[in-house]
Amino acid sequence: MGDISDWIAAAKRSPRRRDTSEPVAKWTEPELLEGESVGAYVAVLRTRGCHWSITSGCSMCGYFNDTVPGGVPQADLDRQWARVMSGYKGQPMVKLYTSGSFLDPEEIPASMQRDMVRELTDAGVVRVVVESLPQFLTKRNLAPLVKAAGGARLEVALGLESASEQVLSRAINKRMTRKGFARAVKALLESQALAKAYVLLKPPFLTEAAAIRDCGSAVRFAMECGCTNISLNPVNVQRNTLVEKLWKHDEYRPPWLWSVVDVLQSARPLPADVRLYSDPTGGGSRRGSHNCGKCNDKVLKALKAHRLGDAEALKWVVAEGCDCRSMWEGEVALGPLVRGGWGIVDLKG
Amino acid sequence: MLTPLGHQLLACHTRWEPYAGPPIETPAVALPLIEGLGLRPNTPPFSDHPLWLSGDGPGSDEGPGPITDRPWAGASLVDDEGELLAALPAWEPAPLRERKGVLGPRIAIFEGSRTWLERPREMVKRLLTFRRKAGPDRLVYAPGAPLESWPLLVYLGVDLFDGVGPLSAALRRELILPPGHFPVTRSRDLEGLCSCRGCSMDGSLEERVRGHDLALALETTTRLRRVLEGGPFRELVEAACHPYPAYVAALRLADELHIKAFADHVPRVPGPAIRPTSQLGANRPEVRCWRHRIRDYRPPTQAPVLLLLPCSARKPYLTSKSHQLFRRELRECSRPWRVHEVSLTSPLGFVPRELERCYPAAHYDLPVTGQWTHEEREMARRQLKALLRKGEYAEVVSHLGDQHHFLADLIPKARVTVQDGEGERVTSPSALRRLRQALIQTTRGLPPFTSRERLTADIFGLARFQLGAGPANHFTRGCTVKGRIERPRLMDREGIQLAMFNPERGCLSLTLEGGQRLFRAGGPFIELGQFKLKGDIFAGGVTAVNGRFHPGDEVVLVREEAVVGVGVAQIASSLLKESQRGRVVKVRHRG
Repeated sequence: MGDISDWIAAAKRSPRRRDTSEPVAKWTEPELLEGESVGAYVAVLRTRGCHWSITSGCSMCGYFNDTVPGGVPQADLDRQWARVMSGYKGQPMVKLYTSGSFLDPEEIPASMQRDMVRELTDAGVVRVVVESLPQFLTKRNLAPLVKAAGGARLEVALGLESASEQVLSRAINKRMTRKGFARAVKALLESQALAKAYVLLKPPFLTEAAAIRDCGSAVRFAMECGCTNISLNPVNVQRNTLVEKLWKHDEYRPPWLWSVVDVLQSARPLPADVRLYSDPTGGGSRRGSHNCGKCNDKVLKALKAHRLGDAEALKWVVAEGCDCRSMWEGEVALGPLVRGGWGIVDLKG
Repeated sequence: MLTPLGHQLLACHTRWEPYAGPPIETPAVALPLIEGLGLRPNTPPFSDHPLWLSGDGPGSDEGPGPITDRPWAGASLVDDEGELLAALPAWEPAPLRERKGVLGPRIAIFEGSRTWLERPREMVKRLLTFRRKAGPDRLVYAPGAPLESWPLLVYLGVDLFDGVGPLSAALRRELILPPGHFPVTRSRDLEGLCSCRGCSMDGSLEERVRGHDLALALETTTRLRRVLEGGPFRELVEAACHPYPAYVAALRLADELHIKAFADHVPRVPGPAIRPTSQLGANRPEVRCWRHRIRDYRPPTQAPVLLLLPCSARKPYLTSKSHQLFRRELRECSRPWRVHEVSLTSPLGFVPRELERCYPAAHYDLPVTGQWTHEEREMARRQLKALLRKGEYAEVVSHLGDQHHFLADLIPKARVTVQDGEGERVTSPSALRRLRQALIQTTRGLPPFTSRERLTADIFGLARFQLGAGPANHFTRGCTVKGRIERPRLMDREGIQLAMFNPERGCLSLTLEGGQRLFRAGGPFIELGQFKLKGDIFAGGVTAVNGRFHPGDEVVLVREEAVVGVGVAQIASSLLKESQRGRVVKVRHRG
């Protein structure tokens, strides 16, 4: 009964208590910066968490599991930051994430946001990537950050997820409209920051075929808005989410890696300044985007090569194929005859 | 073509010939199963069916309640271009909006059968509610239902399926061969398993598996259609359900908790013999309805000696060798027509001699091993208790043989004529001799009663069973029975024939005068519109339906308070009220 926000609320659990002076995680990963492969330092700070997740939340998002209800004391935030900086080894690119919005002053005070960015610029970082909900992306909020970044380029990633209002409101429960997203991207560009869009592949309830269509149109919309970096995120089954509940009931299957490849391929040719790639979280596992057991690694490797600039990698992996590709084709071809996001091939038929 | 729910099965039709041409691409293969109706997904009524719209899903007023651990049931989505994105298991749609398919019938979509099938109790409740709401003139479509479930779903009221179930199995490289799926990885795996057209066609392994699974889908629908035309439909459904616990549960629950949905549609005239070979069959609607009907039964008061007999394999019992032998002994006594013969049988319970030609008493077959299960014994005891309560029997003679021991305490004073403990057969000379003696002794001193008098009492009893106590009382008042014993005729005081017993139908067939009398007696009747009565009656010609009747019952045709004909109902009264299509009465006499 009720609507999607009730179902999401019913799936939620309060996060486990953690050491609030420790960041959630930090690691280094290869990235492409101005056409060059570099190391990117990624840190996830533990904060009060996403503003929207506290109010209601999205159907697939389990990041609230890494948050601290009520917020983290300033002293602990400082300690986290010190731990993050102690691990920094001069990488030219830094991704500074929270399990929410970096620009939300309730998560990290505005002055601290500025200081963090400035410290990174001073340490020689060329590109700082942060994430935020669109409502925090106004010229007024962005100006001090861009100023603090100085010579470094500030890139703000924001979740578009889908370009369909129906999917946004009824499958994802993201309280955002196309207009709201376009406005936020405009504000970013006018503030001389870069805009990076997250696009979701296969929100709950959508069939594989509908998901591919939906994701394709989201990619187009992100480009129309002026996003230059588009990261395609196939849904993975995170804990205590509506998606997990559906998945446990055999009513959801994470998208095929072939679908990821398909969306990436059919979006081509891309404008010269746009990057579209995917780094599937939990790829190859039961909870993440996966194909059959045999070709997961192969496709994931190709996706990684593609992300780091090998334009032909996906073409090769498609050409090489796998036994399971015809299964995927069959499932997609059935289109709307399959009703809902269960997988006709590897869940019960 | 009537399903157990009484509606006409219109669907499962396809023009598609799967293997005549070159291999067909998957989507083309998927569609024909619903293309038979001239429909394609994404075209109306699919794209804008009310189920797709918000607000029509959860929380319909009179439907079964929500499933608490799946609150999203009923979620459905269309994208901004109106194309379907998702449709999850739904509550029944609140208002079923009218929508016409190209070939005419309107479609109601029962979402999520795949999910509900795992929850038989909810599924049966939902589907039967949905079917009732959809009405007899709509097709119920169950998208994505697994092939193995089709017979069950047809039984529960679904008309229309698609190829998603079999195609999913094919995509998984599974050969559907009930009771299981056979995984196929090499062509060697296919060898010898099946010789259908799909399996034996030239092509890749994938194409052959797909060919097989789809061929089986078509075969299933064809078979279902064929048995619905007057074949062992229920037997087919039972056989298809047997390997799957959830399906058996669904069928059992349908019989047990939802018998009302089926009871009205149990025919009153012989169809194919029923074969209740399992526990499932023993509870099927025909059987339950018999037990229910027999509750109103009154034994003939003029026959104070109850003779309990075992049933026989041949039906009607009287035509069997054993019952012929019993009858021979019966004639030896001075007042044979003072004896009331009642056969005890599983699963029907008891069958009095005068009703043994009624459906399904003369039309069932089941395995007889002499072992009665606990349920059967309890049922027999209940039935016998009821019979003893109703009848004013002065004496009881039990010639039951091995069934006597679990009934003995109910009939303590009975004369037992078979020495069961010593393994005596009911047809053994000694048992028959004892039977004769018992009958002679128990009927001694009773006033005379002729066979004609007894025949009259039996026909009155039959009329009561057929027409119901109230109408039958009025109908038979002052009547006499004439004619041969095989086809006795019921005459009124003036000597006008009202009805004749038809042994093939196992009931009284009314004349026009009989119809007039039944109308006055308060029997069921149908009011007709203003049209010239010739041929049979179709749903469109009916303006009102009065009283209750089953398919096969006699109904009176009335126009402006005057009886204009009499005939045999083709569908149940409850359904006729909602029906807009099809032949509803086969007319026998017109006035």
